[in-house]
Amino acid sequence: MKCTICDIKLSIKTGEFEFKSRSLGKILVPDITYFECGVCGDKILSPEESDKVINYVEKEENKSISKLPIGEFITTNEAAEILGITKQAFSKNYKIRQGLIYSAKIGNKKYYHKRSVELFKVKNNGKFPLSRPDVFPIYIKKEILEQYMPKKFKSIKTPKTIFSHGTFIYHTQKDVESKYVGWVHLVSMKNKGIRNVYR
Amino acid sequence: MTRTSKRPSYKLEDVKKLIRDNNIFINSNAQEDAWDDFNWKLDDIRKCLLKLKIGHFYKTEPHKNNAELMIDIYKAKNIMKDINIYVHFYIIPGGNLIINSFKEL
Repeated sequence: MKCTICDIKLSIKTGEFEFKSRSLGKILVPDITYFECGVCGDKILSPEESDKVINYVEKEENKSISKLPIGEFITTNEAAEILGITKQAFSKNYKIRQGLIYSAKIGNKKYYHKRSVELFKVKNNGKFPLSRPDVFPIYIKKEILEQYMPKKFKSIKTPKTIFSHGTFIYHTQKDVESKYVGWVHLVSMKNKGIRNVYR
Repeated sequence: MTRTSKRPSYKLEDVKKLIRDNNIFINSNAQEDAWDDFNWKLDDIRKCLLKLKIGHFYKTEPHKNNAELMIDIYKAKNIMKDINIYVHFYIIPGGNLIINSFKEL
């Protein structure tokens, strides 16, 4: 297949596929075959591969939702009250049924995330970035990090402990792949940490 | 000079035939937006596109990076339940439909 925009042959790639979702930010989906244009960077998915990507993203989103504190979930009645609609209208709402409000099932009952309901009221979409520090490892050469990291951290030569700077956490990893030995493992928090480092 | 037209570059029935025959590909950005805006997989997008009517056609225009490539843009309100969509697509030689953008209107 050719890239109709650049008029060059698209390369077929198999491997990790980068997908950006409002809930998870950038996520790498393993083992996806896709077409990529080496010039414009366009990535094209077949129906089968697109389903594989979304199924993976959906699973990861559900995992992250299930990690949200149980106290942040409310009943259908409470959620309907926030939206100013009846319980019946809430249950029938197509977008809510599609999962645009984060929910969790406990027993046979469905509970809705309060912040997600409030967001849905304003934006008609209750998705917000879910914190996934465990799945957002970014590796950066220690020297580069030290060059750009905030002055207050300059004295830290070998950060063995986890240091928190509000928006990011970084530490050395002993059990990383060999290619990352000597690199610093950086965890993005609220998608702001990396920008701070690169600035 | 911009070339826009009120007549689609691709016949809607041809587009729908490609969808039914599964000759369809999706740009990753379009899939990301469809997921973010509606929690839709490609099958949902497909069902939605099959409901498109010529009345939903908005305009056709050349792709911003390739003036030879025409893109059909549709805007459809309440196409499924209370869903409003903005979609643009094109057909590539060889007969595959590429969904280039798909998001909430």
